[in-house]
Amino acid sequence: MENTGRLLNFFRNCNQEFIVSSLILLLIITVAIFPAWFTRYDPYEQNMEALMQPPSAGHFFGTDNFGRDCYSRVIYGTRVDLVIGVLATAVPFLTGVFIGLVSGYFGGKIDAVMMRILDITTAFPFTVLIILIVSILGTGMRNLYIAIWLVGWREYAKLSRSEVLVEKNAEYVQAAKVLGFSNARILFRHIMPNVVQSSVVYGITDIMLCMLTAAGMSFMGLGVEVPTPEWGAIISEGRPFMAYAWWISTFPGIVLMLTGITINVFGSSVSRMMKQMHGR
Amino acid sequence: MQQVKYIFNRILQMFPVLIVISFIVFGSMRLIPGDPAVKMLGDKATEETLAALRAKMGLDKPFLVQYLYYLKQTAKLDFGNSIYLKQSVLSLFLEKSVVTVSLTVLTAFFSVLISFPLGFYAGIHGDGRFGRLVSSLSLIFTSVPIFWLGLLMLMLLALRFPVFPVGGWGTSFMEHLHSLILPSFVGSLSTMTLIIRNIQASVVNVLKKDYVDFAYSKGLSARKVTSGYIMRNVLVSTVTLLSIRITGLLGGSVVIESVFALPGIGSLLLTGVLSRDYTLVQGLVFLFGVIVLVINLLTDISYSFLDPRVTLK
Repeated sequence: MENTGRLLNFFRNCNQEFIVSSLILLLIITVAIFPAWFTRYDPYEQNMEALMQPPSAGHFFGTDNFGRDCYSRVIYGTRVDLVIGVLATAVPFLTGVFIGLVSGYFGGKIDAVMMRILDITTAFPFTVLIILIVSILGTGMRNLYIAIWLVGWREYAKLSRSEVLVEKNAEYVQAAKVLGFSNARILFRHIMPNVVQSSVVYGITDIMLCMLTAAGMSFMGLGVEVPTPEWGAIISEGRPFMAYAWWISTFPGIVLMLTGITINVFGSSVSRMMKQMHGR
Repeated sequence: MQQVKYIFNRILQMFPVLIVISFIVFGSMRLIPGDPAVKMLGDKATEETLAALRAKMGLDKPFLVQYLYYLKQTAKLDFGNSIYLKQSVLSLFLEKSVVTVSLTVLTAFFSVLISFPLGFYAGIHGDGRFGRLVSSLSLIFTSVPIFWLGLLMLMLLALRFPVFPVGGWGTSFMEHLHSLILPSFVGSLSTMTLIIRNIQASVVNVLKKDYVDFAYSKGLSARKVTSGYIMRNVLVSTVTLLSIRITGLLGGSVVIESVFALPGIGSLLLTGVLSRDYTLVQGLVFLFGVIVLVINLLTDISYSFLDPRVTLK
């Protein structure tokens, strides 16, 4: 009964933006899971008889310098980019929220140490820090993940910590303490559900930011290995030919931007719905 | 006098942070497997020069002693020589910083120049069609891959219609300026939308304040109220935002400089990473940290000039 009520409440608060953006997102996810449904060509297959052809009915986005179908590469790239966005966000989300919760709740020495680490990591621009770590570990996708995981947690830690500081003085926390619940139970079962929202909202936008960062790193040659159809890497592949084959670089950029806008709109509509549902 | 004392104290406080930063940079470089001497001199180095460098760096001594040696060299502003470019890291940095500093300044200039009138207009005339336009533009500019937009601009405005150079830095001042216009415009877009929204919000906020009503009832002209009351209050939050963004712009310079083939610090860092030039990367990352510290200091100092209510302690 309570669940049906919640569901009804959820649908009542659905706004237009949420419906449209989640439908598009669903389409993008479908493309990522079943790319073969959307294209006839293999993204790696070279065709020496169809080099650098402009967009046509046969090749929607044209072909590149190896005669590979650009549309097909963009379609197969959806999975690569989406996985990057989600993986690069999920790990910092978990570690950051955990660090923020623990240091905000316990305070004292743990908090002081964590906040100093945070201050020092913010002394470097995000991109520079990522590049430093990639240069230590070597280029490649796995190391780029590690770099983003090591740097990306700071926003989540800041967000959840600042909310825990307010929430830990709330009455329900005091009540839980009086009842003799353990710190872990209070922190993760009582406080966490109340403070995790802003991190979730930030995390949705962060998927887009991570996709852009990873695409930028691949563009500079610090990300995915060469034939992988990643959008940033495809843009980089088309770069030497941009004077006469504009289509190679243009289309993956448009798709990357539209995916980013969709994720952004989805994130802001989710945050608005959360505010409405909690009457804030 | 108080300001001088504050600035002096802040500079003193920078030293412990610098030491920590140097420790992180040094420590992280030591995480790379292999012999640092081989890495610094390259594969072709002879056994004698390697042995000499090992002795000089104290590689046979414990980690902490090595670190102290590094700290001593850093204090003397000696960051070693680039392995790949065979030049001192500091002189390379100083040479290339002209490009990056001009790029960053021009980018900040563009963002402020365009966003101030737009943000003010949106703030004073309320949230209408214009406000919606600003928020949709900001949605686009935060989601657009900046390196791609740069390439697109190059294709359009340098190759198809040759208004701007395809890349590079040129030789004369006018050529420098000419080659910086496109990259700084592209780089300023995301900052611009942030500042517009921020100015809009703070103008709306300040307009509600009693002292604005009071100023009007004193009979001050709208122009005086805008410049003396609203503008000054908006400036403080804008400067904060801009200083945060400038840190981001410095990081973003790696991407922008790579797209527009500008020979700045960002390109230098990328060269360092791609050619596995560890001395160069180590020195540049440390110097990036120093720049961020200095920018933060300048921001804090500027508050007291912009807002007399802020006292520096």
